[in-house]
Amino acid sequence: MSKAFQLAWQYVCHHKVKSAVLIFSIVLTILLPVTIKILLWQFNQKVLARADETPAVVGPVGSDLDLALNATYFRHNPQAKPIPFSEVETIQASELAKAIPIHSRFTAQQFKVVGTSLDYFRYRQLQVSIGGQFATLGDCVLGAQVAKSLNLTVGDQLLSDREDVIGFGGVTPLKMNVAGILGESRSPDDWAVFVDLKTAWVIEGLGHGHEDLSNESEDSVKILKQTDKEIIASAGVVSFLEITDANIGSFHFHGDTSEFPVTAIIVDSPDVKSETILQGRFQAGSAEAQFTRPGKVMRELMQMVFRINQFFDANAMMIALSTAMLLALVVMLSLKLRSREMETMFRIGCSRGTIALLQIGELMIIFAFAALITAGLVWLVWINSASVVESLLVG
Amino acid sequence: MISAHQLRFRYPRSDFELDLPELEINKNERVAVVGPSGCGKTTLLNLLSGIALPDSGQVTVNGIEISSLSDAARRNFRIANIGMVFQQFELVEYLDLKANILLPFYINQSLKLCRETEQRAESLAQEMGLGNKLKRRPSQLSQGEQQRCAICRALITQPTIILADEPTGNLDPKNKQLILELVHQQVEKHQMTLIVVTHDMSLLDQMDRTIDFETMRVEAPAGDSS
Repeated sequence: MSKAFQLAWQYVCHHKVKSAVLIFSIVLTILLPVTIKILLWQFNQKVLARADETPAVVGPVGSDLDLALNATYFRHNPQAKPIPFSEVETIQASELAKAIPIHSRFTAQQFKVVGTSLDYFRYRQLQVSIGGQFATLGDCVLGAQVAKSLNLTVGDQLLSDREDVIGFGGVTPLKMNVAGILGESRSPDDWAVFVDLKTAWVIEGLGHGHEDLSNESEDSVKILKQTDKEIIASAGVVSFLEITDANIGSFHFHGDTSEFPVTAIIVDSPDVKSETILQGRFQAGSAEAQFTRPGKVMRELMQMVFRINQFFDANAMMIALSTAMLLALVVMLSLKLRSREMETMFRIGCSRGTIALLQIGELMIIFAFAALITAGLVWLVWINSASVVESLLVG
Repeated sequence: MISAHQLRFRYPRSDFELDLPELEINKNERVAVVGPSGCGKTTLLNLLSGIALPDSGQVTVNGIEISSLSDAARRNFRIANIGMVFQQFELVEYLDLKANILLPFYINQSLKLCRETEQRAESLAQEMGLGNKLKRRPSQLSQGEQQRCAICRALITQPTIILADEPTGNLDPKNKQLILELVHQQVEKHQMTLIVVTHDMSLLDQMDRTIDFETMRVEAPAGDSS
């Protein structure tokens, strides 16, 4: 057996290209469906775990899925009109649940800027590993991966992105001060920049700070009109792009903050009963907001994904079958081409059984290599699947 | 000694029939088998080596009746007693020269491949002028060198009989002469019986006896079966 195996090995080594093509055909046929299975499994685990950690959310009327994704992965749906902050106040006032606001419309260096309250960190059990929580307007707390990717630490500054390239979107960049960095949680929180909700509103342009106009004389070029109640200033007034100890006092909001936007609200109920009552109220009374359960939404999504995956499974089976048939064809053609070699071996004293063993040995070597390479690649896919799925979900 | 008695053989689905009333070849004899294409010369070699079995009659080699042996015993008998040389050399392309010489040891469980065998292969290659080409593949050798390698493969099992089917049929005159000299040297050195099937009448001078196969034929062949 070992001598026949040596011959088989020599054959495989001599026909490197042919062997490599056969090996990689087998590898690809197995690897692709296995990779999809692993990624899908990982996706299912991640999505459901995150959704289950967030039993109930409130957000704009529309797609349940968009709302669930916004609340859990901070994926903003530009079509959805944000809900007013008054919904947060309403939930708080009902005493049925704690409402944690989420405002995730903007980015900083392509990472999501999430305006929220300190309750969010408690709710997600996020620990600050360096520095502290955001304490004042303009502070931010970075997710572990954000800090790592941007090489930022406490005391550094991070500029929020313009809403569009030209900067005519009304959103002016705000230079935020890094107050803390979160420990790694292997969740979307690692990829977010957390700020106080008011800081998010400042980025949105709903609040701002500028030089003091009260000391300006009425004939100053910066003042267009002045009454007892209001001062209308010209564009010459310097607005602050950074919130510092010196200018923080000048920051203020125009309008009623209860009308200011939030993209989602995490409902932190003490018990199922309170949560259900709250759900009933939203279903009965609110035209602007809806109540949804991310776990249910994500399970429905995954059921659909798995149903679609069945088509891929069938497809993979067909590909595997056609690959097997092609391999059989290659082997048969190879045997035909090598019939003289086999006949010579038989004439000089090789049994038909040993000749068959030689052929099987060659195939075994091919399959063994394919199995080894596939196992190695599957292992690589496996160890990287969690981060690949994370980046797909947050990206 | 090789003997055939009342030998009849017919290929399935063929009109060709070999009928050999009597044949005797003595030990250490050098015999040339001649005759036109399709007269059954190669079939005779197949019958003498046990590759094919006669429909009737007996083939006895070194006192053993070949058709009485089982497949495995016949194979072991062949590999131990008979060395075969072919017109097309029939070397294995993916093996180097040394592995080609040692091929019978790779493909037969009854032969033990040891250091001594490898040394014998090297020594045979040396005698055949291939000592510095042991790592080369058949495609890197000339035709003469390939046939010398095939002769080494036939000799490696130290057989008592060499069956050569047109061994010089694919060689130029210079290589033909060289191969014949080397074969005769080895046959003489190892006291072997040599049976050569050939169309080349110039080989006959160096043989002890010639069997003209045409005269032994009973029925004319329908096609080329050799």
